[in-house]
Amino acid sequence: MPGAFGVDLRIAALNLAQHRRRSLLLGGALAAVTGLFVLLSALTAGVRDTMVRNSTALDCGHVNVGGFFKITSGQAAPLVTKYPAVLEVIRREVPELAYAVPRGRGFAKMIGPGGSVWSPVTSLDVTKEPGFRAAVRIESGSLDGMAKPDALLLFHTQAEKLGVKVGDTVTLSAPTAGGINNVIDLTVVAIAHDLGLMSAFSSFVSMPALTRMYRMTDDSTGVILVYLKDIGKAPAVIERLRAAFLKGGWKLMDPDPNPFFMKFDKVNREAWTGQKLDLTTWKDELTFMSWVFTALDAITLILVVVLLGIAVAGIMNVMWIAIRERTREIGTLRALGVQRRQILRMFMIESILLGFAGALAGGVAATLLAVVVTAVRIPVPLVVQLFLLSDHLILIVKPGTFLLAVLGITAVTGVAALYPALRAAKLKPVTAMGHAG
Amino acid sequence: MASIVSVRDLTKEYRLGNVIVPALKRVSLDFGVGEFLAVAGPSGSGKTTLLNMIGCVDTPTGGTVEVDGEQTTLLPERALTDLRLHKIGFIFQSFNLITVLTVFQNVELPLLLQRVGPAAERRRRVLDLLERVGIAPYADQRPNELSGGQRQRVAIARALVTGPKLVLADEPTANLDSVNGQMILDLMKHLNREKGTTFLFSTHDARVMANAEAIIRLADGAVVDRVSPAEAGIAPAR
Ligand SMILES: Nc1ncnc2c1ncn2[C@@H]1O[C@H](COP(=O)(O)OP(=O)(O)O)[C@@H](O)[C@H]1O
Ligand SMILES: [Mg+2]
Repeated sequence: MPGAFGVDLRIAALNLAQHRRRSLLLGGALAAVTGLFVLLSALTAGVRDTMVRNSTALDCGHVNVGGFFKITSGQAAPLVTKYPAVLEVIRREVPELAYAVPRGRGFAKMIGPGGSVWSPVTSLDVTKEPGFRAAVRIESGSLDGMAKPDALLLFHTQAEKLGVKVGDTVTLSAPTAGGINNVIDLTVVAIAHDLGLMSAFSSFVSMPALTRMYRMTDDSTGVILVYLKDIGKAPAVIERLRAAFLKGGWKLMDPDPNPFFMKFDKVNREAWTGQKLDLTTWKDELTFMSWVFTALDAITLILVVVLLGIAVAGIMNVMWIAIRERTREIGTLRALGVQRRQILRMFMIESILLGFAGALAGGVAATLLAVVVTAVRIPVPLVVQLFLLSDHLILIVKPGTFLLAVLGITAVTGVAALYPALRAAKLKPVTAMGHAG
Repeated sequence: MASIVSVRDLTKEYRLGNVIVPALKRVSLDFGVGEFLAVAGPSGSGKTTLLNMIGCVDTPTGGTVEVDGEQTTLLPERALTDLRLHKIGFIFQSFNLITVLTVFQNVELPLLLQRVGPAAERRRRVLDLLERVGIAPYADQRPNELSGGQRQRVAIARALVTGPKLVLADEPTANLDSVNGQMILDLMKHLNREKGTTFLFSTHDARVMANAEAIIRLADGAVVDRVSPAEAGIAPAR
């Protein structure tokens, strides 16, 4: 291209090359800002992803069809009665279904030789839950043991508190609606590595154990966890299921974005008796953890704003220096017949080239670092594990975030350069002349 | 003789704080195509200011400047820039080459700005001029690798590569020793004769004035007279 744009580009690129030290410094700073942004986002994305994946495997499904059964208005039990019919509706209405499984919900005092703890108790059929198998990391024993009717799975800290090992017996004492405590003995078949916050609040038993503990009928369960091929479809599926259940004659609770254990008080205060279903998404069940996301997002935002501020100041500063240094040269170009807008373009190209190169380098470096950090499984302290639900750092660089970071920083560079570049374009051609007199 | 520059009642005042410095006071002059003229006068007499006004790199306070038939005082900045690009060549006292570009690229620059193509055509014209000013062997070097005399030759090539009607040179030899200065003047004279390009250069050095066909003498921002070197009592250079 013989046009003037080629000249602008050439002069801009050559100027960058000429002032190598300055270019490297500013480009490096922009790379650092981009890299930090990418890493922070990768951390947030990693935490979010791990939390969601592990919590949805351990604690809830993508969509949860639970509910309460009340014999009298003040005695709510977290039950879904006649659940095979409910399952049938789900299978019929949800083509996005990966799998749906029933789980029992209970709350019991666990008593071992070393002590006792109160804990939610969940019953499940491990053979039907591939997600659960993937999320739980067994420390001793085996998940296969959960096939036994009196099996108990504990997390490391719980097992320690109770003073039990695999093969030991734990007594569960569960208060029931009638005011009586039902007591059963279970055998520890497996102990799992702690999985953060979640592990303090859950223990798992085989299906028949909970049925026996609460003297439930075979067609009752606590909740049906619905796993979808795409977790993003959860809200749409909920809407469809609500309509289907209403049409099928079920009574539904009003949507309430909270986990089931926070709903007892409210349900007990209501007058109705019998069965009502409660449909929630994984988000509803995990609201108590959403502050972690909010905090991470806030930290990222604050850091990004601060870093961008520094970057903008740096760019403007360097541009001012460049323009002051090149005043005579700009004047010369103007005298030779370079238009104002071409001067503007030249400086814009220069800063955008630098911004893009810096941001790209920073983004690529951060992505590589994220991959390496995740691969070498850097252990994280316990406090962090609580939220992370993982014992090592997981950084996920999403392509969208990468693009946003690189293009965003480039754009910011351009915007920061605009004012100095406009000033450069306003320089009079007479500045090319010496005023020696 | 057709007129290439026509200046009428040209006034330029600089403002220094509250003080107004009159640099040009109602200057009027004409010169024709193909002339080889010197603007002479002591330091501070307004030579640079006059050349800036004629070259359209600064705006006058009053009066008019006509270049090749165009009333420049009426033109917007964009049109003035185009006029500079297409009609005027500049040679600066401090050479003012673009430091990041090679000698070749510096001379090619005005052709690129004029969108002269193709590249081979530009190359031919650039090399031709570099040849004439005797700088062809340095085509791929950067300006800071050259001596002052060599740099000014590059600047001359840059000023002439587009074939402008008028070349303005503000004290083109002031930063050169007398030998190199004379070589530059000879080169300018040669190009003036060969191509018929009009040259207007300023100087306060009698040896430089000696090269001119005519000398426009300035004092205190006003034209004193227009004389030949002989009339000014200067022996013409060769
Ligand atoms: N930018 C300027 N600001 C203020 N005064 C100026 C400026 N340029 C030139 N002058 C003044 O205008 C007068 C003419 O200057 P100039 O044209 O540079 O003269 P010469 O080139 O003959 O030495 C001088 O008094 C000089 O001090
Ligand atoms: Mg001067």
